[in-house]
Amino acid sequence: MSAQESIVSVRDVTKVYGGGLFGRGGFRALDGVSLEVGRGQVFGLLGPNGAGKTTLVKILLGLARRSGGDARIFGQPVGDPRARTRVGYLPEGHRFPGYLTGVQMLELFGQMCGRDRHYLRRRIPELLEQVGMRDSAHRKIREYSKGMTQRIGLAQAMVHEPELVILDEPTDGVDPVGRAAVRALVQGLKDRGTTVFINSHLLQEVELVCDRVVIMARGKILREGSIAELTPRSGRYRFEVAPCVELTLARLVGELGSNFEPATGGFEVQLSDAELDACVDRLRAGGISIRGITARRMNLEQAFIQLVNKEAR
Amino acid sequence: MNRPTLRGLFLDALYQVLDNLGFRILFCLFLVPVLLSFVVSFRETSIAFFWCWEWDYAEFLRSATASSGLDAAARAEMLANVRESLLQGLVDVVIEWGADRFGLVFGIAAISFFVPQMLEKGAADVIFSKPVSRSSLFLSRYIGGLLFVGILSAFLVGGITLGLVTSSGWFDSGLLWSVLALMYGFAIFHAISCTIGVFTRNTIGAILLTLVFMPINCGLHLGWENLVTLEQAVAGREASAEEPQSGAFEFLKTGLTAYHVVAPKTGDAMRMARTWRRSLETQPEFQDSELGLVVAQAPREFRREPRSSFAREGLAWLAAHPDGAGEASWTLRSQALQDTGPRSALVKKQRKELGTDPVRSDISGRYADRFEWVEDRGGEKRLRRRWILQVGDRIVTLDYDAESTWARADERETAATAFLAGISIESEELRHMGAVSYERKFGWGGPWQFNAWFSLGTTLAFVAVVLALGLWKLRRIDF
Ligand SMILES: Nc1ncnc2c1ncn2[C@@H]1O[C@H](COP(=O)(O)OP(=O)(O)O)[C@@H](O)[C@H]1O
Ligand SMILES: [Mg+2]
Repeated sequence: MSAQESIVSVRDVTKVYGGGLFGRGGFRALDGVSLEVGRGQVFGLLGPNGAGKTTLVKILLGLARRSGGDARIFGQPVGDPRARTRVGYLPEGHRFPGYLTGVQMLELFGQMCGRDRHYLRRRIPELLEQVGMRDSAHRKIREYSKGMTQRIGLAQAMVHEPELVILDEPTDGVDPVGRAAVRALVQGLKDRGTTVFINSHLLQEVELVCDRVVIMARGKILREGSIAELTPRSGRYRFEVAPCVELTLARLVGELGSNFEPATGGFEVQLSDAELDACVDRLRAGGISIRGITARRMNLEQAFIQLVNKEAR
Repeated sequence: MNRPTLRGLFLDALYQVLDNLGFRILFCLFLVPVLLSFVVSFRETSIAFFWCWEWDYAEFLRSATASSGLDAAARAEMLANVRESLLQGLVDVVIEWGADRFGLVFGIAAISFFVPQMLEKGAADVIFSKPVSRSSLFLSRYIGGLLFVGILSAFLVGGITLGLVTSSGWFDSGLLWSVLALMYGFAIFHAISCTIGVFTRNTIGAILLTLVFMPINCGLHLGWENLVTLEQAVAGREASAEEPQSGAFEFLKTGLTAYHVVAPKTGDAMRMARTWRRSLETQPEFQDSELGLVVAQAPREFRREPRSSFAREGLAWLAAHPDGAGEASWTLRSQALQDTGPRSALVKKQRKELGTDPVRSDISGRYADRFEWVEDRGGEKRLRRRWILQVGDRIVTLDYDAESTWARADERETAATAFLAGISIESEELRHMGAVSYERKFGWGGPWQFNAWFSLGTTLAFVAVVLALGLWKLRRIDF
């Protein structure tokens, strides 16, 4: 990744809310956060509520001022409006102008991002199609349901074809169908080479789309890596075996490893590497034919809970 | 900032205003007088509604003055002016109340949501993450507000002007000036409301605080104007000039003066408009600011004698009689009460001399004793008339002297009535009100207290400081 161009670069950023006159006291929402996002990546920032994810994003967009450190997008210091021309943003807890229709909002925001009417006349219909809002596009936004607002919100983040799209909790409060749609949109952006920065506390979403993940809690980064790196092998194996009597299995394997659990078409058990060989030998010796063995990984949620709990201790 | 961005900002403001309920109500309210000005036409002798129902001024007057016991002559005189005074009154109502008072308050109330609504939670994240600086957004909202109130008041005033011109054939430049005055007042209060909006980030709060500020500001300036008037009145009487002033009074005076210098002088907007308007209009024949006396026009056929003086022997208008037999004259004169003695004594003396009783009369709505007699001067019969009235501590006399048959001609009597009708004297109560006295001295030259340039400069400086304060705060908000 070091070879890649850095789209977002955050170095040792801190944010203290509501400090006194001389910066004393106050609440430390970010505490020395550093991260890099390369071009074309789908980047996930994970963390429980209150971790400081939104705060970091607001600093990137110049919505909040940092108390220390350095943050850049496209190599330009954040806070410079020009740095935002190539960024699309879906805020968390957004309220879009209810006095506009969906189309009007897309036109206005497209213009504010420097796109002319000619471009927008072509872009907006295709975008509405993409987010599935063609039918309600001419209704006032104040009449929209939550799901519709989220869709038009995604559209306004993408209307000027930005190179970086920042989505803060894009699937929060969206039904499963909507979530799948969001995932498809992110995949589409990725295919076109757009960099995507997703904030989420909903782990399955991130697991399914992100290339790289940073986990943070209480203003600090805990871990960083690919999904595979963050979900260590758990030492648990699943055996698929030809149909046999369950009792036999328990007798053969029971004293090896721990947490034996029968499952349909086989069983799961916790084994060390040495025990794994022994286990295979025993099953074969017992005349049981093995159809498959898979090493189980922790899912992101388990890894996440483990990490956050460990940190809390 | 490039063109699409500006366009986007402008359209956003436009849509937001068009969607606003207060703004829509205001528009509908303004529509009423505009439509009325088109469908009601003030003709020479009658008012017509919808071009079919006519109502004679004479009939109108008869019903309005039926019980007042006015004589036929007075009624005829009123009738001559009824169209003009109706139209003038109507326009005054529109300017003073429609534009200067309600227009300003409603405009502020209707547009105060502009900045705070943009700053409310959730909405701010959306708009301030766009590639537009906070200062541009703030200033675009300020200018957008000005633009919309400008359009609205131009609609009101332009509509009424056009309506009056087309349906009644009547035009008054004061209407157009009032748009400028309204915009000036609005530019000041809108800046304050925008900045309050940044600090409160709440629509209702911004509206309320601005509406509270308006009368307080107005009251403090008025207080200062009264103070200055009072001081000058006191200084006029030398005796009391030496009296030491109490500490509380000095404190009040310093405070009010400091406030007056610093704070925006919105009331001066209408004054500036009026001075401009006056400078464009035809000047009256004569005016005396001491008495608040204005003579609109010279008597027909008469010319002012240039060497005559109002304060000394009297201001004279002369006309040569066609047959060369002497001259006719009107003489207007003012004397201090202490030189002439009380008015009643003056009237009594005159009565004794002439052997006739005076008639109750009035000039500019003030009580006046009118004497009329015929004098035999070298075989020529002269018609003499004299009005005596008191204005404050001065006695004003008006004399008419003309060859009798010449003067009695119908058209000369009518001209005399018109001349008298054109004389106006402000009431004392009004003249001793600070605001009026201040306005009389107010102009584009003179000492700083009454100087329009000073007023304009300090007010604009105030607006700039207020906007800068709002910007400073806005740049420090963490959304
Ligand atoms: N404007 C603010 N003023 C004071 N504290 C804030 C503000 N915004 C966020 N915080 C605090 O900062 C912490 C991080 O918040 P946030 O970044 O919204 O977390 P996340 O998005 O990860 O849920 C929270 O404890 C929150 O209370
Ligand atoms: Mg958040």
